[in-house]
Amino acid sequence: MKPADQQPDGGPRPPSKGAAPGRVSDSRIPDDPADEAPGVPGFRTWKGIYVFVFVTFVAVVAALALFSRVFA
Amino acid sequence: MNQLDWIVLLVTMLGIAAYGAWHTRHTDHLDTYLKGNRTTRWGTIGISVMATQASAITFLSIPGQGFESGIGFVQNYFGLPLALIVVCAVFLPIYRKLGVYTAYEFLGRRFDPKTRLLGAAFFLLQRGLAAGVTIYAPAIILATVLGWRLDLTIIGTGLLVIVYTVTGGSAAVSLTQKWQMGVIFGGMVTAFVILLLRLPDGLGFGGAAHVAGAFGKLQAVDFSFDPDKRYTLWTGILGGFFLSLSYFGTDQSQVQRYIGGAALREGRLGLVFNALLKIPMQFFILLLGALVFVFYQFQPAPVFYNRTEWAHYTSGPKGAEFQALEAKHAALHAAKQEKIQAWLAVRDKGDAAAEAAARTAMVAANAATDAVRKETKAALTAADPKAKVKDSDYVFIGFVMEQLPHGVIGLLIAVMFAAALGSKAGELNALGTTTTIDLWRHFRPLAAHDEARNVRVAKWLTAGWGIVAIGFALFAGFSENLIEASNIIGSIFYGVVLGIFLVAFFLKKIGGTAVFWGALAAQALVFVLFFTLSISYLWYNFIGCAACVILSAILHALLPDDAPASTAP
Repeated sequence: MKPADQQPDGGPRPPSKGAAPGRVSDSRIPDDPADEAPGVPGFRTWKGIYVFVFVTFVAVVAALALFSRVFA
Repeated sequence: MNQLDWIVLLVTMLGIAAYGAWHTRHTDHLDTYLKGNRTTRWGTIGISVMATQASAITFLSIPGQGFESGIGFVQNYFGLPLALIVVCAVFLPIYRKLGVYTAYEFLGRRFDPKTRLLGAAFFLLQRGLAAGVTIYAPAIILATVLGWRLDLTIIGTGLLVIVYTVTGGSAAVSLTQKWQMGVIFGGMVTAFVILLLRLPDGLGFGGAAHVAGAFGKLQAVDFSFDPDKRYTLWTGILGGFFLSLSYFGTDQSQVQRYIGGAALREGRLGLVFNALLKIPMQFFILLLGALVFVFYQFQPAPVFYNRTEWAHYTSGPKGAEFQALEAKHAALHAAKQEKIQAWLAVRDKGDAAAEAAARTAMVAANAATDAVRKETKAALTAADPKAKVKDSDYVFIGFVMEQLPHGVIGLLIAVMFAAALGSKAGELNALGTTTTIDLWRHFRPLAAHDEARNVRVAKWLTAGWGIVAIGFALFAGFSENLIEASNIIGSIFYGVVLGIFLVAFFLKKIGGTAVFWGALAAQALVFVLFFTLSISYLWYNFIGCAACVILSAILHALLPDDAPASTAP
């Protein structure tokens, strides 16, 4: 996708109402950049986000196991 | 319910539906109608994904599960965060890159039209069969407890969801789900706080958790490898991973929620939102059920929690027998309360032997009341083989009706309806979309180029699926086992569909002919195993998936002309 096809916020341009009356518009192909940054403070890559999700999952399971033990 | 409850219920439900329909009434582009607004952000996507998965049964049955069996069911969700990482990293970028409306459209690009139709047919068959259940299951419980007519409850719920889903399509579904989840979170937190306030003085959350733990209700993680145990860490991670990967990655009702949005980032963050919050949310709902169990340890507790059904049988010819069981249970329950108080009295005194003895006496007293409950259910079945003896679904709603103040009762009933509408809307939206894109447009390629006609067809098909769901709920005559059967049907098909998608994503040399026949053979194998083995139905997710991948690879080696489509990603 050319930069001009994007809105200022980086999102794809919405369908054009008058472009092709009665026809299916071509707006449904957004063509996202594959390595788009997550835009989350503290994370530069998606890999970092996935590692964070995994570590959080392990921490939640550990917390649940601890909870079971404390109140057993 | 009094007037205040009715006002809360009607204002929230009709208000949200009217707002969704009004706000999206000018949705006339196919892209917006099927994928939602292009400006949708990750928060809305994340909530929409959550609302589609969380049906009314989540908020009716899962507290009952916590009450009856404890919070171990939370392990069922352990595979979900891992599956969502795979969906974020692999599935979503390809769906967005190809600009598909449905997951099955991707199969057509990657393989061929027949594989696309096979994937769409599996989805429509499985979701179509379940279409009535998602309306019927909450309606039967709410109609029973509230004394409403079942048919009118089904029709009212069904028509309301049809109106705004047909009007605004995917945009209306996402918009209304956001508000419905607000009602759900608000209602559940309110119920939790009031429950804590209603516990005996001095007990508090810590004391209540210790009581629940002493009765084995707080065993959240089970590390054992015992194959007879239904929920363990390992079955949760393995079975839950395949089930979640199939549901979130290939089921159009979920795919449709996250393939739209402003950018790939928004869909990914919406899924990450679910990966982080789903387990804590399910834990909270189960914990609520376990605390309702504690609440009833300090109150007179019914022997059978479906009070309407119970009133019917106690006034019948065997009423005296049932009343005797009720009296027996009440006496044993009172004795148990004394044992609990005795245990609480010695618990903090540091006398380990006395604490252990008091705990053993308390657990034995609980086993005695449980035995009377089982005896009661057996007596109900003997009196009427069609009696609905599974009463755990009525525990939480019974607590709401009897213990919460007016206004909050209306809010909690609104929670149940919000969940029913949100999940049903996502389902109807997906059924209408798949029928339009993968069937109608496939067989009417020339008419498919007229956008206005496409939207009209999508609206009619969505409404048609809504009518089918209402009719199915009204006339199918579901039993409790049939509700579970819908979950079994899902597991029978999910594995093979996931297998097709895994081949598409990861085995790029395999073509459509091999995967088509491999999938059919794997589905046949799953059917044969289902009718000959007695293993947990969750395993068919894994078996179907593995069989599809292996058979596709074998057929690819045997078929010299099998090649992927030229437009494969």
